[in-house]
Parts: sequence; structure tokens; C-alpha cells
Amino acid sequence: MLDEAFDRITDAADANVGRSERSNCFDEWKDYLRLLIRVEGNFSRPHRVVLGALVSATIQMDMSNASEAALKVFRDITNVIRQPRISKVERQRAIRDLLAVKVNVTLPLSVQGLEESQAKSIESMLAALLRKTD
Amino acid sequence: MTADRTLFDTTMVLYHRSLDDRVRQAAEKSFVDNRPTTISALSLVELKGNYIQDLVLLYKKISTSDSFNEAYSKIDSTGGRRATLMVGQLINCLGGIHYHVEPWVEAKQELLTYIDAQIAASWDEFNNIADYVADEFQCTRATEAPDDDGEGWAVSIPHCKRVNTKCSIEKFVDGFRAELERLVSELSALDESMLTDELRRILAVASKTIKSGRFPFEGRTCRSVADLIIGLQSVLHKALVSSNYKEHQVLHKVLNYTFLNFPISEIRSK
Repeated sequence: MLDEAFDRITDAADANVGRSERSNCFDEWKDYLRLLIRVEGNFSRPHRVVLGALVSATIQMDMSNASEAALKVFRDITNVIRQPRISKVERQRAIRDLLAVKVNVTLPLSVQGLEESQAKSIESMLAALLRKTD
Repeated sequence: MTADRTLFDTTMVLYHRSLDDRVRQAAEKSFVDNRPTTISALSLVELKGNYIQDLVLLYKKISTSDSFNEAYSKIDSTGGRRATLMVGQLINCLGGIHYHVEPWVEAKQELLTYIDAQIAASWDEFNNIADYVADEFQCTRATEAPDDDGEGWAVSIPHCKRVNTKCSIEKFVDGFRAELERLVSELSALDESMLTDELRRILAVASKTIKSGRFPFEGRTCRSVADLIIGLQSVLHKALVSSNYKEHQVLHKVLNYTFLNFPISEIRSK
């Protein structure tokens, strides 16, 4: 599945591939990564950090918002995840490479500034999830 | 002296990562409109002590739970509402009510992967959110990034002591002796209702500094009076952007810096 993901992002980053195909490849690459996060049980912690950073950075991203430089970074980082071992330096470099192409890696998780009505809405959503699993 | 730079306080960094579009966009705009920008090295320590500590708490509670309900219960009872809302916001990003919390083994693995990445990336992103990090006192704690020792994240912040601290905060604060004396006089004369908890702590620490002739940096002093330290740094900068109105409306007049209020209530009501 990781090889498939790498093939998709390689095509998405390839300027010689047609626009529709590149966009579809980008979406499929994202789907593969999200699936990998859930089902791949053999990743090391550094693998998970790099994979999580990549998915966090692109979770709300459409191909139309991705710069050519960013696509190449996504491709290179996907390739890093294919390695059997990832060092701490490689892990840090992956995150810095994402930041260098102006991609937000952090998700909007800050509670600071959250309005009471929004807080209540999140709590209702959590309560509904809890009921679903009861 | 870095008089061309605008200093942003710690909450501004958090607003920059807010789920509320209005708050986030207003904070992002403020960072763009006030370039060149800088954040305090002390803000990095505060962010590690609050935001990143919350993420680590989520990580620990989820990793040791056998179901979503158990994880929720642990997070709620130990981290309180802030931590619960944080995990709620994460799930919101992943699909909200449509998020698959079952099978838990998969959901757990997914949530932990995101949290791992957020812990690793936050420190780098906070360091890069502004054009500069203002570190006039060479804060030792601000150089200590969250570390993964293979077993888990090490994010605790040691209490500052002579033996583990190489900063120059005593010298930095000593450069503002006249301002501190004015501050003690002004705060002491203020009506009790005007004094926030932070201003009370600032009054106590400033009084102690004047009396003993040195800033009592040991322990967690800097974090407990962060508005004072950031206020003193602001004297060296073009302006300070903060939503801590009650503190800085008092401090900026006495210490003599330009305070740009970030009107959070007004922004949220738009």
C-alpha cells in the first residue's frame, strides 16, 4: 500500500502528467495514507510521526492549493516512510521541509479563543460518539 | 534594540491555531500586517508547558485505554474541559460525528499518530510562526525542545536553578530597575478590583526584586509573571500585540511601550 501511495504522489508531482490525472492521484495518495495510519501495525514511532505530519499537513488540502514545490516535498517524504528505519534527524528534516514550503503541519487544536457555543457543539459531537459506542 | 519588530504574546500564537475561523484569520492577519514579527523565547516555554503538555496528556490517556469511552473518561477526569475539547477538535478535523471510533485498535492507532506528529511539529512551527524569536535573556528552558526518548515524549519543564540555568534574566530585569520601582508604586496604588491574579503576582515579584536587589528567577517565576517579562521585552520593540487587556493596559503605561490590543470578544462576536 505504501508503494502504491508513493506511485500516486510521484504522478501527482509530475508536471508531464495530465491535470485531472494528477489531481486524482493526489486524492488517492491521501486516501492511502489515511488508510495506512489505521491499518499498518508495523510502523515505528518515527514512521508514525512523519506519516502523521504528512497527513496533518494535507488533511484539508486540495490539489489546487498545493504548490509544485510542496508536491515534491510530499513525494520525497512519502519515500522516507518507505525506508525500514527513520532516524530522528530524518524525522525532524521531514517536518522542516514541510514548513519550508509554507505548509501548516499543526492542526487547529488550540482551545484558546473558542467561543462557548463552539465548545458546546464539540461536546455534543463527543457525546454522540460515546452513545454510538455504548 | 530591535525597534522595528512587533512582539506577539503567547496567546496570539494559540489564536493562530484556533479552530474558530474568525479568531484564526484575525490572528494570521495581525501577524501579516505587523511584520517584521517576533515572539518571546518565554512564549516557547509557556507553549510547551500548556499546549504541548495537553497533547502529551491526550497521548498517554489514549494509548492506555481499551476503548474510546475509557479514553474519553480518563481525559475528562485528568485533563479537564480543555483537554476534552482538544481531543474533540482533533476528532472534528478527522470527520466529527462521522469519525469511526470503532474498531478502537484502528482509531487508537490513528489518533496517536496524529498526536505524535502534532507534538513533534508544534515546537518547530511555534519557532517559525514569527520572523524572529526575541531572546534578550538567553532563556535556557526555551532551548529544550520536546524529546522522544523512544518510550515516550519528555516534555516536563525543570524548575530553574543556578545549576541548570545559564540565562541572563537577572541582568535583563536589573536593566529596568527604575521601571520596576514605578510599577510597584503604581500597582500598589491601584484599586483592588483592578488587580488581576497576574498583576498581583507581578507586584509581589517586582517588590521582591527591588527589596533583594535581584530577580528571583528560581523555580517557575518567569512563567508566573510572563506578562511582566514580555512587557519588559516590549520596551525594546516597536509594539506588543496581546489580548491580555487587563494586564497590559496597566503595564504599558508604566513601562512605556506601545500596546496593540487584540480584541478577542469583538472578533468572536462578528
